[in-house]
Amino acid sequence: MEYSKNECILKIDNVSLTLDSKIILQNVNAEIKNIVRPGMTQGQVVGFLGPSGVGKTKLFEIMAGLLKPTSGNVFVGEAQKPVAPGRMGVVQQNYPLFHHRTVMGNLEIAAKKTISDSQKRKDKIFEMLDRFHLRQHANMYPAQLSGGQKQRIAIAQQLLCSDNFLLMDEPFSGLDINMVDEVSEMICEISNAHEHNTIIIVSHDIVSTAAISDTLWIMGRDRDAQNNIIPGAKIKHTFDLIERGLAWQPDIKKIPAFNELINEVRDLFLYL
Amino acid sequence: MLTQIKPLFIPNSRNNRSVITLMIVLQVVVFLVIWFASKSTIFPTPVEIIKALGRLFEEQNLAYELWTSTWLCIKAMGIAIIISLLIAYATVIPFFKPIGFLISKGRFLTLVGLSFVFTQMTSGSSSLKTSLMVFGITVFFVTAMVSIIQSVPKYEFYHARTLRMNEWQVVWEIIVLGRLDQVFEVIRQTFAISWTMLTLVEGISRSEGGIGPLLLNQQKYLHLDAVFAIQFVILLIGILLDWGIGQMKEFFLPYSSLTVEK
Ligand SMILES: Nc1ncnc2c1ncn2[C@@H]1O[C@H](COP(=O)(O)OP(=O)(O)OP(=O)(O)O)[C@@H](O)[C@H]1O
Ligand SMILES: [Mg+2]
Repeated sequence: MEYSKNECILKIDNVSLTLDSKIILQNVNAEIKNIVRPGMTQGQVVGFLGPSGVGKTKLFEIMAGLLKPTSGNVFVGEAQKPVAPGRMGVVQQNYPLFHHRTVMGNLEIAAKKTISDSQKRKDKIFEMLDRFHLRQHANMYPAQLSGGQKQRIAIAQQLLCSDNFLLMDEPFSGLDINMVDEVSEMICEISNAHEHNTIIIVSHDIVSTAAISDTLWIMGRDRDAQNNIIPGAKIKHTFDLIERGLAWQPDIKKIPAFNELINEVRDLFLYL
Repeated sequence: MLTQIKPLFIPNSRNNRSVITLMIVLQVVVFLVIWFASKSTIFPTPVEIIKALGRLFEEQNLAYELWTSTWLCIKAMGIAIIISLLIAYATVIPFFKPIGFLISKGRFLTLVGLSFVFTQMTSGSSSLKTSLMVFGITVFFVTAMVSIIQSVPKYEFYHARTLRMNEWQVVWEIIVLGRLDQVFEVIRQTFAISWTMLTLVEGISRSEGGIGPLLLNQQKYLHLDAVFAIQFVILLIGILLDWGIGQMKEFFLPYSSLTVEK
């Protein structure tokens, strides 16, 4: 498969985080490069795995510019500017929406920031509603929607107002198998809509995440000689799934090498 | 039948309308029977109360006194809502936090003790009563609002910030618009408090009349039937206004009742 990894579009540079004198993250380093495939638009999907409570959500908040790290920095885009809130789309774990606004109102307020012409804004919103099968819910309030529907609105809201990056915390949790497939498809579709589109998925669902990722980050902590956890998580392992021939494969779950990968990741989890 | 009655005693169970109606009617009937049957010297019978009510309307101008009191309450409520909201919203700015904190501590002061200070600061019975009421409502209102504002979860702020809102827009969207339904709830609660303060405040400054002095007078002459009649009317109007506020909330904020288990 022909591809190349070009310029760096996201760089986590020596990020550390201490909360209430508790070391959460210690010297986290990682980068995402623009993947280019001749003759097609190829975005990036990074699966971000790790045990519960290790610090995934915290790093995620730092990447989004919402939480200031104790030290270190996150740079985004070709120009490698320090991240600021709003540049990264963020879909949080519980898909928050403005409960006092209808679906339409929620999308409208997001689109206002990026599209000033009101007719263009309307067109774009309706395009989103159709894409996510939400048109018939346009005038409902979030309280009247299912979890899956809320998630799609939260995604649509972020897509309307961020450039290229989308961070998703637990996008598969609480969804049935069909919905997981649907969300997976949606993630691939979004990532391939623009060369620089990059989606980072935080998840506990190793299989679903690995199936659509081109790269896996595994976050964990070191252990001392007595097998006790040393505080301060970092990205301990990075899997390049393209190199292994496990990226962009439609029927990936049937490939034996994929199952080996999953087992490899599972084994790693025992020592994180 | 039994299968329909059983859920009435199970927590959080849902019951159909006719069963609930029947239950309420039964409870009221039992209550009335006990009331009629009791030969208590303290509690007047319903008939005595109704008679007293008629007398109060004819001889004591009850309707007018009621209007005076209700108007005082509504006026004080309106002023207090504006002042309280301004103070409460201002507490998102660190500089104003201590003021909100201090004002909420005013709940522990008594209005009777403050009446002298307020008399010095105001001119006339009407403005004295209004300012006492406004003070009494504001301290509770600010307390409730500040606690609502403090308990807004972090992820809501994050959500607004990821949508490129600046901090003023975040406050407008999350604290002001996003909590309007709760403001209505606070209005309801503090209205009930203000309604109970009313007779006390009117008792402090009696020259303009109102339901408070009327009640105190009847009590002085031990007209217990009249006292109960007035209490009954106060209760009724209170419930009515409370219901009105609830209706307004439904009307202006249709989303507010969507998450409630019916
Ligand atoms: N305000 C805080 N003060 C101190 N420690 C905190 C604070 N918030 C979170 N933590 C700690 O930071 C650690 C990382 O939390 P984080 O939410 O990032 O975990 P996570 O990897 O996302 O877990 P999960 O997969 O369960 O969502 C946890 O151990 C938590 O106890
Ligand atoms: Mg988490």
